[in-house]
This record gives sequence, structure tokens and C-alpha cells, in this order.
Amino acid sequence: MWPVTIPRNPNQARPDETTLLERLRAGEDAAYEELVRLYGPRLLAVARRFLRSEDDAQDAVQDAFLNAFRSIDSFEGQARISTWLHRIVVNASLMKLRTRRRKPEQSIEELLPNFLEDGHMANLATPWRKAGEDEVEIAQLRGLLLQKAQQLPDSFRNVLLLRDIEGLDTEEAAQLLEISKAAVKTRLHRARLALRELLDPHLRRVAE
Amino acid sequence: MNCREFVDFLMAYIDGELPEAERSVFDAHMVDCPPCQTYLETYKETVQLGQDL
Repeated sequence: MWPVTIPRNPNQARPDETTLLERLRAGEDAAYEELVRLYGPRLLAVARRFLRSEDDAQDAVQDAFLNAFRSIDSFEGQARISTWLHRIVVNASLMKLRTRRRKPEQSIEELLPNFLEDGHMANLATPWRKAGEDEVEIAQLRGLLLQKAQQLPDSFRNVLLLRDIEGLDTEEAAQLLEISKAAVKTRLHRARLALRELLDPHLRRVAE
Repeated sequence: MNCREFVDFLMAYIDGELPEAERSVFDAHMVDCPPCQTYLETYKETVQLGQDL
């Protein structure tokens, strides 16, 4: 069974989670395979947000499933399996990031909005167009956001991913990243400002 | 308050963490500065886009 192969189709119907959990705890091989088949693609998508390298993302998902298999007995089923696995892969991705030898990080300053000496904005903000309800447009918007987020320096991108996209609160993010809550708040704000600047040329409403 | 300070306090404002007095100054700046009001809206949309993922 190991290493796990991530299947391509993420749109499988979810089986009864209680049954799957029971089968996992019983050590049923087919249940483990089913877990990987059902949740692998989604976990890989999450890992790719944190890790620039496809190999690293695949490794993180492997590590995540390994951790899940080892700790299945301590999972009490009070959260959904998907939520539990989601947290595990976020942890595995962050662990992977820490093991990578760090290059000097690009400064975020050049991505932040510019101001004149008198404190006015150098470039006045213009409204953004409203997102449509078209599924294709919504998917494109999500892709654009993730693409632009990848341009942020790692220490700012990771805070944005954990807080705004993964939905962790400040304390949880601080613990995972091993930084202070104040640092989480400061980095989050600057990450959001930078991301806004990166998105602006694409979303700015075109003058009629 | 100038625009640079307005942007510095954006996150505290939308999180409801600005003290009352500073919140009033912040609101007054928006009245006088439509571009900053627009900037706030696009900042909130940036946050919302991520949360909608």
C-alpha cells in the first residue's frame, strides 16, 4: 500500500464516515485505501498552497496519511474525517517547509502600497468589479488568488493561508508557526495589503 | 489621520479592535477621503475571497 498513490478524481460521493472510521480502527486495508482515494486529491490541493515544489507537496500528503494511520485510535470522531485530515496535512506541510533550507526571503515592502511624503496614497484606489455567479468565473478567481498568494514571501504567505484560507484563529496560527500572536496579526495585515495590490490590476472595474 | 495611517489601522478597524476615539477619527477620514473608503472595500473583498475558498 505504501507509498500511497493519489487518485485523480476528487468528486467521489462520501460514504458514511462512522462506518469508514470503524473499518479503519479495525485495521482493514481496504478502508485505508478508500481513505486515500476519497481524501487524497483534496489534501494534495491544500499541500500545494503551502509548498512550491510538487515533490514536497506529495511528500507532505504521504506524511499526513502516515500520521493519520498511526493516530487513528486517538481520533474520536467528534470532527469530520475531512477536517481532521485537513489539519494533519496543514501540519505536515508546515513541517516540510521547516526542513527546507531557507534562502533569504524576499522583502514584502516592494509589494505594499506606496504613499507620498504627505501621507496620501500614491495610487488612488478604484472599485473592483463584482464577482459573478458563473462557476467558471468563480473558479478563475480562486485560481487567481492562489496564484498571487504564491508571490508573497513565505513567512507572510503562510500566515495568510492559515488565517484567511484555512480559517485558523490567531492563537492556532501562532502555535503552528511558532511565532507570537502579535507577529501573526502584523504579518497577516501586511500579507493582505500585498495580496490586494497583486489582485488590483486584475479586478479593477474597467471605466465605461 | 492621513491615508498611510488609515491603511495601518485597517485590520484593527474591521476586527472591531480600535478604541472608540480612534474609530471616530477613522470614520471621519473615510468621509473626507473616498479613495480610502474604496481601499477599505477592496481590502475586505481580498479577505473575503480567501475565506470563500
